[in-house]
Amino acid sequence: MDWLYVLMPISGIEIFWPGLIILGLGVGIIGGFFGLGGAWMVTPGLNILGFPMAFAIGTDVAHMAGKSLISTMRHGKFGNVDYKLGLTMLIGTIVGVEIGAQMIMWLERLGKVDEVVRWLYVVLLIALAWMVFSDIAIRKKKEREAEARGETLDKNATGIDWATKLHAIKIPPMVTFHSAGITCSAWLPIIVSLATGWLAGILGIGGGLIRMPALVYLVGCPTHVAVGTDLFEVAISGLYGAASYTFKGRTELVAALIMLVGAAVGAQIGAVATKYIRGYGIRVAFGAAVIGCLCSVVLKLIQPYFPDYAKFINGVATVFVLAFVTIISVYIAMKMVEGAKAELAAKKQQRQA
Amino acid sequence: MKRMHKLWVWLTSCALALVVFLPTLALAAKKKGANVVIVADTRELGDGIMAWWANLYNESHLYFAILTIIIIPLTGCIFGLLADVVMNHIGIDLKHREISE
Amino acid sequence: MRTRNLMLTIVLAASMGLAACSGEDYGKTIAQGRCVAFADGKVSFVKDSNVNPKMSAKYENKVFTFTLPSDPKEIGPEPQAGAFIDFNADKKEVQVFKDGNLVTSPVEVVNVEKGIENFNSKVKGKEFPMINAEKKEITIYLKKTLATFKAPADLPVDKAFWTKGDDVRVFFKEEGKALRFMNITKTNIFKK
Repeated sequence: MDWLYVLMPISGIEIFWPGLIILGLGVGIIGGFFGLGGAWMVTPGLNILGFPMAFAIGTDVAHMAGKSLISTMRHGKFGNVDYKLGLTMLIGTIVGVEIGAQMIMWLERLGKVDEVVRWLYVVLLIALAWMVFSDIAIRKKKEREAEARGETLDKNATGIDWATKLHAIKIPPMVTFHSAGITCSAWLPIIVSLATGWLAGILGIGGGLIRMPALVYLVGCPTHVAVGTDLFEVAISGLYGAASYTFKGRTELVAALIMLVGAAVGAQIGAVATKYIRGYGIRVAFGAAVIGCLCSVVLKLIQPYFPDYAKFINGVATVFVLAFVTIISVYIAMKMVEGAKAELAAKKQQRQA
Repeated sequence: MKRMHKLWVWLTSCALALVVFLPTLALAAKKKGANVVIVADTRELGDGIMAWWANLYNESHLYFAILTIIIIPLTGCIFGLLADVVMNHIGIDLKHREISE
Repeated sequence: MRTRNLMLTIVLAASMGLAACSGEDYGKTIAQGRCVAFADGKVSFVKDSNVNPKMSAKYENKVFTFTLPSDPKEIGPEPQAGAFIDFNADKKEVQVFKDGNLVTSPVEVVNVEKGIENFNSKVKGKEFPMINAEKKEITIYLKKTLATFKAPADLPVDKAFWTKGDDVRVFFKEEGKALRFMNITKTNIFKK
């Protein structure tokens, strides 16, 4: 069975390549669907495959850049990417990440902040999950109320609507983002991206998990456009990350390319699936992803408190993350197949008629 | 035409991001100073592409990084275009979707 | 049309990059082995001729000496040097570096335990080699083997001599001048 293993030329380790493809496929589906990079899902998978961890992040971001590019291309064709908004936010993101990264280095010099930062991440994830699910609950309530009145709720109606209030702050220059269908002060996306970038820099994460809901709830993007525009940013930041880690000699490009084979298929499935799922369907699944991430972070955080069970907890965390990736990606793939089948059947019917 | 415009916007922004970020790369590498220095063992790899790639790694991380950031988006574009062909062949509409929350 | 031009430009740039890189005579020169001396920015090691990562090291009577790179970013953790090279439990012999040569000596084995993981209480937190000067016994822990043997009469019974050197790897183009130095023993690529 030697042919199932491929030698990584830099680290000299042999890796089970079908595992890399399956991992790429899973995170590709999820990434293309939510607009996430998904590093928190990839690292445990690579660990299980015996991948050298010194190369894990670099390899992950390299494949992430490629898969996000594929997803962005696909979302772009659907009109889900607001390039103008993406570029405006890019400025804030770059500055924010740099400020965050510098700040964390300054804090590290003052004292141990690692744990504080991780708990901050937990708080942030809880807040995100609460926001997403309360938004869903409010929208459901609105639906029920409309039904009681004998009306149908507007298909673009949302639950939480902070964005309208933020759009009302008219500090020049005012900008219209056509694909997102919003007009607001240019400062809104810049400040939002500065804040999300700063948080990502402080937490040492890619930031897709924070930026996507920020685009929805603060900037006021429709869910689909938020996913596409976020992927646009993930692709660019992924490319930067890949350059950075590779320059430090910490990327196994062969593994990244093998993962990209799976991720290319996955990214297509995830991106096309958004076509068949309503915005709130994506938001529910996104809420589940936030909870998944939260659990994995908490399981890692509690390990030092239970040193005797550290290995067991670590195993549970890995199994949990991989099971989560499997369930969500299979669900999204099924939705995509169902949607595509229905579309093709409708087309066939049209032709026959 | 519109698609090309978007692609250009894309590539320009990538280039911009790299220009902005690249000076900080060396700085960041210096600051962290994790001292993880790896020499790829090319002795077993022979003369194939793998050996060439590992040699490039040993020779210069800069060339290695430049080629990586060319290869990754290039591969992404190729896979993306391939998928277009496949999905068009299947008959999935790749240009329209209904915005609905 | 413009798409095609763009794609062609990218492919051209990539191939030019490749050609530029492959045009040079790339070093292709790697030396690996166990460190026997390290001082004043110079490292000496006994050659390990095994190239298969799945197999054990195979030391040869050839010593490389390299000057470390001038760029500190190209230097891994400083190596520990030692004269003790290898122990073969089956053949009951040790390999040591003595008077500039790799020497193989038979030893009288007192005790051997194989398959001892590094978290085992028998080795965890302990420093090897352990020297029993009275009995002239050396206890070493190497490749998951914990062994005690009597020091051959012609070899010293001191800790410095029986210390195992680090495994190191260098990339070079010019004999004696390392362009990058890796300390394999002290670089755990599996650590998060």
